[in-house]
Amino acid sequence: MKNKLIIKFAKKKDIIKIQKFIKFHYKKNHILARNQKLFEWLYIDKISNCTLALKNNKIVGVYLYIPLKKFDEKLNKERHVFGSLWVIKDFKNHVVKNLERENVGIALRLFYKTYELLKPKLVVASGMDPRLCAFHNLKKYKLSKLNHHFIVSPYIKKTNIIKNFIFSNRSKKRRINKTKISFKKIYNAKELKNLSINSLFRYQIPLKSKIYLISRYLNHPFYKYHIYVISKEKIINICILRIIKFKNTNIIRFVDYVGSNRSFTILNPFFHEILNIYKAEYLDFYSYGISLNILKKAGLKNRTENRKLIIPSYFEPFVNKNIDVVIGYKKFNIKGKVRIFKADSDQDRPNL
Amino acid sequence: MNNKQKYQNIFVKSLSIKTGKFNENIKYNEIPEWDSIGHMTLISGLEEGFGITMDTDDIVDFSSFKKGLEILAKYKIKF
Repeated sequence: MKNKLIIKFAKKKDIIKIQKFIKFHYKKNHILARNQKLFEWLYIDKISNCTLALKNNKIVGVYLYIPLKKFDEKLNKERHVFGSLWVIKDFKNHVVKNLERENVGIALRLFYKTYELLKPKLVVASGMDPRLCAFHNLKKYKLSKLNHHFIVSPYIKKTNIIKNFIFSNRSKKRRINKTKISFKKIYNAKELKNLSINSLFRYQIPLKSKIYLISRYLNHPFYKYHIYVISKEKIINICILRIIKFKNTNIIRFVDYVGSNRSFTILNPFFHEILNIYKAEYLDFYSYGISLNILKKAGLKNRTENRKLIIPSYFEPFVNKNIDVVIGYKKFNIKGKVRIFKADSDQDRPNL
Repeated sequence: MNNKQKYQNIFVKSLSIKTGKFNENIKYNEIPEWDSIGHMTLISGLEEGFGITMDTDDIVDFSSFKKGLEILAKYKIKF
């Protein structure tokens, strides 16, 4: 029927059309519109992780999402999904007011139908446009912001990237060899597969796995991630890091964590060691689901405790200001404690 | 609560209109809260609140609080 709105899963052959649509209706130079390799890595597995709204056989809306099964097929039964990008015709340059009334219907039908098709048990939206909070609130999403914590290296004498940090607040050096803790870097999939760490994934939803870590981090097509396991008699934590080199300085982004909240508290000497190993200015950590008290016990400082402090988060291109990451999630009759970190969804991907 | 009160409550909540700012003469884009994103939240709220699915034409025609009453009446909601 002419003008009838059809919503369906995209196919791999639709990628070019989707990229053109993103370019024209969202951002001209958006990396997902330019970089097919990244697009395919994020949104294509056996099928595409994208729904299309079509009118007269032309795309009028796309909804991109990342199911965790994208990285480990065995996680399929969990049906945990990260919402990623929702673009409707005439939604140009991220100026939401241009989404006029006639497109509101398309946006809603696409959103509803996508989740009707996916039947998720958990949906997480990370990096949400704050103007969409009221909508998600109405849909009974729990809304929050990621906490942003950091630790400045005790081995440096001045900061190049962080602004307005009071040096006297720096923590004292702690060497890991004076504790019962040890750590080891994991270099490849074989090493990771051989570890006895399956029980560490039970502490949170969305549920991750060894294969998830391999696919998401070790096999990333653009970024190099560093996976460390921390032991106290046995392995109790896994920390995933990404190093940024900027202005002759290294910065450690602590982008994902596996392990209990309680064992997070032992990480302080590990932080000191890796700050030294990578000659980094600081380490930062975005998180939801770990209490402020635990983060403090691990020696991390809360960025928001000092209003003048600037801990940049955007480096592609560099933006010299603090960035709040708004999140929302909804559980559908499942139990489990939700934790969300920087690398969840599409929040830690190339942007240039 | 009658349907008119329910309608008004959904309006105020969906558009996050502050108490005292609401009146029955409000129109689309005449207050900052009722922009396209607000409209999406409002339509979603009304669909959920009244258990209806609105036609695209009605979503487009829904341009004021009063017009909304007329449109919802088409879905057999009595005010």
